[in-house]
Amino acid sequence: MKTLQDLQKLRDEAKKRVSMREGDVRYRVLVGMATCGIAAGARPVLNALVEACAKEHYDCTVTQTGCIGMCTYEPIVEVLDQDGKKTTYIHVDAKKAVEILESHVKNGILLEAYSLQ
Amino acid sequence: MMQDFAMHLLDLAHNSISAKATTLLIKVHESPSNDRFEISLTDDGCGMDEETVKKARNPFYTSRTTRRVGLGIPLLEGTTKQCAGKFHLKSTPGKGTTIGSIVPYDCIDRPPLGDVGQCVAMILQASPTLHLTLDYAYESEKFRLDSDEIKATLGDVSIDEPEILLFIQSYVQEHIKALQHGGKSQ
Ligand SMILES: Nc1ncnc2c1ncn2[C@@H]1O[C@H](COP(=O)(O)OP(=O)(O)OP(=O)(O)O)[C@@H](O)[C@H]1O
Ligand SMILES: [Mg+2]
Repeated sequence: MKTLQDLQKLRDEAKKRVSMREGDVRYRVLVGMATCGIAAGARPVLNALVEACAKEHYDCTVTQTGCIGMCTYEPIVEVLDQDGKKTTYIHVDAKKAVEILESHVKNGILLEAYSLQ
Repeated sequence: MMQDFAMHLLDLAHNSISAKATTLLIKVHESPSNDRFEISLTDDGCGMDEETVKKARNPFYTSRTTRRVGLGIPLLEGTTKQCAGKFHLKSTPGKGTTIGSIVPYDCIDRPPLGDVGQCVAMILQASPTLHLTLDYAYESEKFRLDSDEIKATLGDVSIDEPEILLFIQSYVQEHIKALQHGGKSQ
């Protein structure tokens, strides 16, 4: 079973990596986590994003937001780039979420099939 | 619909965060021997006056502007009623809010507890500065997670680093599972 001692080891590794980070992140990834989002399945989406970021260290932050105002399209993931350009991905699931990171965040290629036109 | 209680907890924690809470206590108590299952959240957010409390239990009330209905509180009340349990909501303006549900453990319509580890990690992801305490008990066996204790261990590493969140998630999961299994074999 994990203990808080294990956390110390993890902290030292995280510290090294954080200190290597430079400047601002390239993308901000937002997940709608109001009741509508959670009920529609935003929780596994957020979890998949956090898990993928722990593994791949994408150049982005993942943040939760409230109701985006389009409840019927939930779960919604928004990707903002440094110029403030926003892409809205709709009906996202855990698998699509990881694809969005791989394609959009890592390679800069928008996934039009999943985005709101 | 909410598939499990952890989903309600995550959702209601967002209400506390929106209410500018700095501390949040989540209690979960599973007691098969007393046929009792209990969850509650207590925050020190802005609170609600009596009128607002009344309104909040109505799905057609919300203080949000993006949508005309608020669902979080009525959904917990619905889940509670479905098991003939007790729903409670107490709030004091400027002091904070306590919301919770007590239902029979053996009610067949009771949703499972769900993944409390994931719920806790996501609350901390949503609000890394929150002082979050989880008090979990299975019968009389207790487990507590205190975000301040984690932060003290982390030093200047932020609690919302993805690896740290995943650690917290499985740390909570493992401890809860151990208590649930230990409890059953006794
Ligand atoms: N912990 C709290 N502290 C202060 N006010 C609260 C709290 N919880 C709920 N409220 C008030 O009650 C209203 C209704 O809450 P509820 O969770 O049912 O809906 P919502 O948060 O507005 O929308 P939704 O949950 O559907 O995204 C909120 O808009 C808020 O004004
Ligand atoms: Mg709510």
